[in-house]
Amino acid sequence: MRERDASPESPMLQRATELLREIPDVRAEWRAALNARIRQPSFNVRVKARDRSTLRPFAAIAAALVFAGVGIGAALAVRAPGQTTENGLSRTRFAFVAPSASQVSIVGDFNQWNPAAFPLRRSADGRTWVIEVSLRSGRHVYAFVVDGKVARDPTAAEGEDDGLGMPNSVVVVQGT
Amino acid sequence: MRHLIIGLALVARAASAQMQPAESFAGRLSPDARVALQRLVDSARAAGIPAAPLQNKIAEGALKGADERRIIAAVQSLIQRLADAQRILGPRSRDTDGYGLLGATASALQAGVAPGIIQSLVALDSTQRSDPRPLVGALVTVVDLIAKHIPASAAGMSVADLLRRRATEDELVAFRADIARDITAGATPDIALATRMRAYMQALDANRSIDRRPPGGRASPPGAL
Repeated sequence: MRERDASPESPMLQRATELLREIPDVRAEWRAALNARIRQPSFNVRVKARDRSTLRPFAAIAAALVFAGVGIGAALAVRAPGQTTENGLSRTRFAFVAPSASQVSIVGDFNQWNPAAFPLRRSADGRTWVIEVSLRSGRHVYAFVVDGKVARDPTAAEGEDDGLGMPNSVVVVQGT
Repeated sequence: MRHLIIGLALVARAASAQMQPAESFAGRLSPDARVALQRLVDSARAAGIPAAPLQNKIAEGALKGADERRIIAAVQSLIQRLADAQRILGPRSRDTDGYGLLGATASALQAGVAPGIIQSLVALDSTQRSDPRPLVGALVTVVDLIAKHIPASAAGMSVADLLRRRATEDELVAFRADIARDITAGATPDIALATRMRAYMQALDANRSIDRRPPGGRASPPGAL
């Protein structure tokens, strides 16, 4: 592009800028859902499986830097992103995608496996059920109860034998 | 007024749901199974083993509709692990944060960590600190590394080396997060462990002056438990 075309006075550029600034015509409910998602706290999000692919390039770059011997000192005392702590407890967000479910709760060693204790709420997208739980640091085993049936977290990075023939999901909570 | 009554009723309902004891789920079990499980819990309690994790396991089994014989076996196995953990920890199993430490030790045993390695971690920690959290963090890190397909002995010795260099709980968290990141990026578990261990040990050695001499006075070589 020539320099004079890029000047602020260029009518073509001004028109293009105006077009880009126009708010596209979208459904009101879609915009509300988007705004709700933007407002959601980002701390300690349990990343869904489909979101992990977006993290891979960054992870690869980070690993490449480390393997190249860069940032060795800086690697110390770095907390995992998104961790918030309060009164010795860490807020951990869990999500479960179940569009057709009518009730979802989380059970685990932190609530005596009581399905009535921590019910999830349906998020604005209508598909995902979410909850934030305050957990002590350490490893916790858990599962979801979806309309009365126990289900593993398909996005959990780890599982653990429960001795009952139905492996649990595991979440590792950082120290405080 | 009507709104107030409805509000109070909702709060009471929510509170009762939160307070529902684990024992209530055992109601789904047959009377025979309930009696057998109660005997196990009572005898464990008499031996000083906390009842809460056992009741949790019973509630978990009942909720999942597991076979009753399997629930009994799972509780027996948990009692054994907790008793072993108590033995390894000694007086430290009764720390303020006792169950956190006891549970972490039992988890390490379940993950296949040899009792000798856990004893070394406990001894190493006992000589250096009074706060149980770094030891809990160390045990959690060992179990986490094993879950990432790092052999139990390598995981245990690596964490022992970090503890020996007085790694903090935050540093252990960062260590396991970095290894997880490397594995996600394509590194094999053993390469990720070796690379990160080298980096962390260099950084810890550089950042802190370490007294390598144990109370006996002889220097311990790196990697030795």
